[in-house]
Order: sequence, then C-alpha cells, then structure tokens
Amino acid sequence: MAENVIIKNGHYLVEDWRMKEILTQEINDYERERISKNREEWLDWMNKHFAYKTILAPKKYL
Amino acid sequence: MGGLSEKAISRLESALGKENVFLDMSHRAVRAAVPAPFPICHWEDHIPDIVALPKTTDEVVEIMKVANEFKIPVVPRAGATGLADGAVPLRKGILLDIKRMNEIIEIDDVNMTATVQPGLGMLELNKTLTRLGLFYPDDPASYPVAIIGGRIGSGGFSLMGSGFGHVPDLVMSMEVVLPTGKVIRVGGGGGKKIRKSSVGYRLKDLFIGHQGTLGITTEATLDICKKPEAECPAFFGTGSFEESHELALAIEMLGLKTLTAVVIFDPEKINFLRRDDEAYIPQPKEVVSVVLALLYGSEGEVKAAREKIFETAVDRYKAKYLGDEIAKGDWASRHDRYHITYHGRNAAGKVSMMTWHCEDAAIIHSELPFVRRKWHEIVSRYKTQYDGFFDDWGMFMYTNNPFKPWGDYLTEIDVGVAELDMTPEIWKAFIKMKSEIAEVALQAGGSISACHGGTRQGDVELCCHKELAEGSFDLMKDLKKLLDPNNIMNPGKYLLDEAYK
Amino acid sequence: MSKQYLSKKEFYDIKLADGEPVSKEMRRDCYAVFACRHKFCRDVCPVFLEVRDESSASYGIHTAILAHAEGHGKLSDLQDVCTLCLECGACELRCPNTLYTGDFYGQTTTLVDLVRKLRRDLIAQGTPPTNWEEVQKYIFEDLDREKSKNGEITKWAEGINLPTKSDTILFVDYFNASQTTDVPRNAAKILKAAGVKFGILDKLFPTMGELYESDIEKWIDFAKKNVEALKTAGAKTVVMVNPHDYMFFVREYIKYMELPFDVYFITDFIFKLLEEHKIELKNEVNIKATYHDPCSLNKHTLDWEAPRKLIEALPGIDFSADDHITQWDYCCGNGINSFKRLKPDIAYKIGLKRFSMAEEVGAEKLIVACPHCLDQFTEVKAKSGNIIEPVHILELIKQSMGIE
Repeated sequence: MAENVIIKNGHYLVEDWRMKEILTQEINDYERERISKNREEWLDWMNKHFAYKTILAPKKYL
Repeated sequence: MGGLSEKAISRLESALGKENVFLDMSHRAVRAAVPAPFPICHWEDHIPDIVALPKTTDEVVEIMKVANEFKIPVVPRAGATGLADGAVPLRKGILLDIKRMNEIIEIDDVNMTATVQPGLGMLELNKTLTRLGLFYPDDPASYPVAIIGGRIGSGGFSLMGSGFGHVPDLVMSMEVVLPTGKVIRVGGGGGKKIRKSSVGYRLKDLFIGHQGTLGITTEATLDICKKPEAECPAFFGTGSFEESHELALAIEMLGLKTLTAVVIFDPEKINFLRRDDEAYIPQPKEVVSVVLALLYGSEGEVKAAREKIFETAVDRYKAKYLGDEIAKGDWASRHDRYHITYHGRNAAGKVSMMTWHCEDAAIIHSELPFVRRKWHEIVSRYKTQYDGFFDDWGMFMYTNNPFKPWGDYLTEIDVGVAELDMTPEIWKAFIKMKSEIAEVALQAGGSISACHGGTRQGDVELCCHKELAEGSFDLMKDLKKLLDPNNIMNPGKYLLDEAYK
Repeated sequence: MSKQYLSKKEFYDIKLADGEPVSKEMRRDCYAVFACRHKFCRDVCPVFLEVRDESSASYGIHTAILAHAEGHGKLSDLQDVCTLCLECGACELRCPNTLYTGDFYGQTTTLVDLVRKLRRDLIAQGTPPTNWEEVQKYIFEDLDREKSKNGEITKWAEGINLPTKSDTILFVDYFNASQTTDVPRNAAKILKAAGVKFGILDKLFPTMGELYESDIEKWIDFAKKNVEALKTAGAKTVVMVNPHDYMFFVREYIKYMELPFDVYFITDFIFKLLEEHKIELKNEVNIKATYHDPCSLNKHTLDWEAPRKLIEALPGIDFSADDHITQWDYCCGNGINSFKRLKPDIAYKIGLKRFSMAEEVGAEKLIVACPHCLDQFTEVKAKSGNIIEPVHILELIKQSMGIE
C-alpha cells in the first residue's frame, strides 16, 4: 500500500483521520461485505463478457 | 426561455411530441457537463435552453430545419461520457439528446455487420450479440455506458484497438443528417457493408471525430466479430518506468497477432492505485511500475502467444508476474476505476473529493520518457501551488496503432481536480496547466489527443493554431462554412466561429 | 445473528425545500456522484434503459439536487424527475464510489434513501411527486386494513391451524394477506410439512414502502409495533414471505431500533430445510422455466443463491436463467415502493421487456420469489397477451413435495 491502512476481517479500511471532514455515513460489516462480494462478482462478469475464458499464467511461472 | 421563441418551441414540440421536449431546469442543468472537469462556478453558461429527444431521422431533420430557420445552436449529446467537452453547450440552444434512437436495425451474421441507431450503447449491443456468439469490439474506458453515436462524434479510441481497430475502423458506413437538414450516406464508396473501396473521397472520416460540428449520425453499420474464445491479461511488475518502457518494446516486437494491447503503468500510477483496498491487488514493494500484455483470440492462439510473452517478460527481462488475481480483476483498473471521487488527497494526505482529468496525447514510443518527465513536473507544480485542488494520479500508456500494437501510444496523465469549491481563478489555473501539458505533446512531435478530441479550453487554441497550423485548420473552416452556412452545429467548438468572421 | 445491512446518512434528515439553502453535507454528497459523470449508474437502471432520459438514475437525480444547491432551479423542479426511480438499488451497487471503494472509505452512494427523502420533502412543502394522488389512495387502503377487525388479517391461514405464539413466526404482510394469499398459504403448508413448529401474528401493522416515503414517523411507529408484536409472540426467528418486508427489516428497521430476533427470507429458510433433508422434492415439475431475481433480494440483500438452488433441485425442470449480475438491470416494473402508481406506463413496458428476456432463454414460465413481481407480471401478461406464465417459487416447491 502507498499509505497506511486499517486491516479488519481481511479487508482494508482507510485511516479515520483522512476522512474526518468528509465521512457522513454509518455502515456496518455486513454492508461492507455486500459491497466487496458484489465487486468480485462484477469483475468476473466483465471478464466473461469480453471472452468466454480467461487464461492465466503457464504453470511454470506461478 | 432564453433566446428561444414560443414559435420555435412549439415547432419542436409538434415534431417530437411534447413529452420528448423538456424546458424545466432539472432536465436542462443535468445536460451541461461531461466527465471532463467542469467549472461549477460557471454552470449557468452551459445550461441549454431546451432539451429535445428525437427518435427518428425525420425528427432530427425537423430539428435542423427549425434551428436553421430560427438560427438556434444545436448541441448533439449521446452518452456524454466524452472527455473533450464535445457535448458541453457553449452557446446554449437546443440540446439534441440522441439516446432515444436506440434500435438495433439489423444483425448480419454472414457479412458480420450490425446496423444500429446511434443512441445505443456498446454494452447494450453486445448483450444482444453475445447471445449469438458475436461481439462489437469497441472498448473505451467508459465502455459500459458509452453510446455509439458519441463514439463516432468523438472519433474514439478503444482499449482493444490495437487488435480490433478503433472507431474509425469499426464504423463501415453511416447515414448523416447535415446541418442543413439534408440526409446523406457515407461509407466505403456507396456500399453500406463494404470495408474497403477506392471510389470517391474518403468522406466517412470527415464525419468521425467532428465533435458534433458537421452533422448528426442517425444510423451506422458496424464491423462485428466473433466473441473471443479466450483472453489473457498478463501483468508484469518492474523496478522502474525505464524497465517497463524497454519491456513494452520487446513485447511489441514479438509480432504476435493476438496481442491486443500493451499498457504501461508508471510508478505514480502504481502509487495512486495502491491508495486503496483489494480492488487493486496489493503488490510487493519492489514492484514500482507495471506492464500489461493483453491477448485475445482462440484458446490455442492465446496459449501459444502467452508462452512467448512470459518467456520474454519473466525469463529475458526479469520482470515479476503479478499473479492470477490481478489478471482476473484487471477490469478494475482498465475501466470503471479511472475515477474514484474519494481517491483525491491534499498535501497532508487527507481525502479531497475530486473529479478526473485525463490528458490523452498520442506520443511515439521513443518520446514517452521525455513526455512523462515533463508532465509530472507540470502537475506537481500546480499540485503544490493549489493544495487540495489538484492531485497527480499517475500515467498510463496504451498502444495506439489500430490492428498493430506498436509505434505510438495513447499517453495519459490522470489528474485529480476538486471542482466543488473551485474559484474562477483556480479554474483559470487549471486551463493554464492543460495548455502547458498540451505544449509538451507538440514538442515531442505528437498529437494533443489520441482519443477524446482537441476541443477543450486550454487544448483547443494549440490544436487549431499550432498542431493544425499547416493548412489543416484553414481547410476545416472552409468545410465547416460549406456544410453549415448558419453555424448552428455546436457553435464555438474547435474555434470554428472563426470561419464566419 | 442473521444478516443486517446498516447504511445510514443522518444529514438526510435535514429537509430540502424551495428557497432554502442546501446543507454542506448534502451538497458534497451529491458532488460525489456528479464528480464521476461516467454515469455507470445508467447502464443498470431499468428506468433509464426504457425512457432513455439522462435525468433518471443516480447521476441525474444527484446532479439535479446539486444544480439546485448551486442556485440553478428549485426543489419543486424535481417533481417529475423524482418519480423516475424504482428504488431497485442497482445504481447504488454499480456506482464506482460504492463498488470499488465504498467498503474502504465507508462512504457509498445511497440513491434509494435519497429518492425516498426527496419524495418526502416534496410532499412536505406541498409540491408532491407527479401523480402522487394515486399513491396516496393506495396508502389509505392499506391504512384502512390496519383498522379492520381482528381475524381479517389472518383470514389467508384459515384451515391451517397456526398458533399465535412460537419461537418461529412466519411474518405475513398486508399485501400477501389480502392480495396474493396463495403465497403465504403455500409457505405455511411447506413449513408444516417439514415439521417446523411456527406461528403467525394475529395483529400486525403496515409495512408498505409508500408510507415510508411519505409519512416516515407513522411508518417507524408501525415498525416498532411490529417488532413489539413479534417479541410478545415469543419470536426468536422471523421468516418473511415478502422480500420487500425482508429488506425493510434487515436494512431499514435496524436504522431505528434493535431487532431482538433473527430474520430470514423464506427461500433461505426452506433451502436450509432441504439441506437438512427435512423436505423432499419428489414430484417432477416438467416445465421450461427461468427465474426472475426480485430487486429486494438480488440488489438490496445479495440473496440470489437459495432460489436458484431450490429451482435446480426440482426434479424434471428444464431451467435456464440469466445470472444475477445480468439481472441488475432487470425489474418486473413494480419497483420497491411507489413507482408503479407514479409511472404506470413505464412500469408496464419494463415488465414487458422482462418477458422478452425470459423468451430469449427459451422459457415458458417465469418463476418469481416476490408477491409484487407476481402481481405485476400477472397484470402485464393480461394486458399484453404474452405467452410467458409467471409462477411463484413456493407453488412449484409445494407441487414437488406433493402437498395439496
């Protein structure tokens, strides 16, 4: 990371002081989880949208 | 209603139906801006007088007739995702929003064409084509929401362009309503579905990238392809920009037909992406810069090409393969994550909400280091002087050559710009920063814009009076006056008002 | 604890009004969406995809309020624009501010809450959303039900013999209890057949979202009374048969009170019973079918797996459905709250488009998990003569279990 972050339940959160003047929302862990799960699924969907298959590294380079 | 007479309004309402003509402020104010930084302090200057949403070519013709008769400006607007201000009204008037013209007229799966109305989005078209195993390979950063007519008006760049061609290559023929209301067809000679013809002038190109100054495309026939069987986005980490620059050249020189793009992420871009969470997969510290080699094709072709890419990057150039996670998640950095409001920072490291400004010069491979150095110097200076208003979000460089991934690059510096509390003075500083950036592109023998167009304040003066100074701009003015005698089409854009002086 | 999705912006409580300054928090919040301007909210907005009007979707509405804040127009200019929202939640999810960094910064796009607030504020200043009188009539009908004599609201359960006190309570809202009675009846029969000991409330209170976006105090008061009634009935687990109410409990009620019980949607509850072999799906269901994700489940509560798994478990079914991400831009046309009554023509067209998507996958039946979807599709079918037949998932499960 380029900046220090807070790590909670395996997810990254911004340090509070950076958002002090801006944060106006209260959200809980389930809502954060809902967002990150959606993100993963959206990215998978986009990959499938552009090609039937995503090919990754040859075994010897893993 | 501003400069519009009751008679003109009534003519538009009877041509389009009252429900498709809007005079209220909320419909008008929303259509003042595009994603390029917008002077909120000058919002009023860009609010159109009236919004019209036609459905057919005949309705567009009628709008042109009214505009000519009453001498009202017409500003065409499609997705309004363009970054060159093409759809931002400069002289108010009629905002002609083409998004209701969204019919798929024909899909020809033998001759591989799709004929569409211009208000259709690429994602929408591809959702239909995918069911037939087909694809329209125009892929801008705004792909999910960009609209075909706007892509034509701005002469757009596609991230897949070095494999599949850009908009000028993908649009085969078009029906265009000229500013006078006359309807013409341009394409490969007279053929609607012909990709190469030697008959006549290449007039199709005149109506691509004109930023709405020469007419309105009302139908387009597009070159489609089979949906690719496989993609392979391979990300390699390097220790410096210079290493990435060398590696990119080596990959280009492999001569691979499935190579669709080579993309360089410079160190500032990597730092920017590292500001946030797992949407961009965290990388070890030694990764300073990144090269992406993107392959599309049949599975066999992609697998064979992949071997060559990995051998070159990892074995020969000692770059680090960044793993499958980032490969799968790469859309995050290639599409929607260009702009994240909360990623702006002031000098103290606090979040400053910002919009995205993207410079997009076309630069030859050998000049990339020079341009990169100069651009960061410029942005850094403004960032320091106007703390919290500007932020350097780093640079991407994408192969720009259609069908051939080598030679010149779309060279992009992304700048965070905090518009909300910007004063007119800071807005002026922003325009000056843009001019300085554009000037560097010309010094490097490049073009000021590879994908958006040269119509923005700060760019446009240099584009018209410097980049196009050897007769091109004079000819543009002659053509504009010939096709648009009353200067109704998007007046003010590309300084074409000069044609009427 | 069952899942509860908390997302709340206190400053939405500050009223917007003609001639009144907009709070700095609201101005900044609207700017967060305006600053994007890529408008990725648009490609998943079922309303935009039908009307093609840029003023709809998250970008259009946030920008119109920002314009008002900057002195361009007034709040009442939004009387029509504020009706262009189904409250389906797709644009919130898709907004880069939410999708990519909402979890990181703890600040997301909340268009659904904003639209509800906007409608309330417009009503409060006497310039209600266009066509609001139709919604108001509907609200009065529901409020009348609240005053009806004891027993009316449980009439749907006649002959099933359910207690009014239990650890597990099946919560059957007014809509299901009065308009789609087969849905709760099937739910109750399935649970009984699975050996679940459960009860129902003999007195409950309105949950309708139309009231939430017009008279929030009254709606919260009813919400508190519902929670109290469930507590008094001894509920430790509440099973919802209306996904709108499920969404209200796990996303909205929790903004105003604590829930002293777990809340599950009926398909999740039944799927668990299937996994525990308490339910046997034995009879063949020989239909060609697809599944429609209700917005309240797919987009608001991320609950799309259980219905699909249950359908796939039905023997004999020929099932093919668009994935849940593809369905972000689908809706039956009803919307979560007032949309169908505010924009009946657009609601009809959105429903019709959903039928054509079902035809694309070769389906004859469109399986739904929401009584409002069932109601809307039944109406669209009657009006259009479309061959696609809507059917509720509980009906198919009941058939397969061999329950009369």
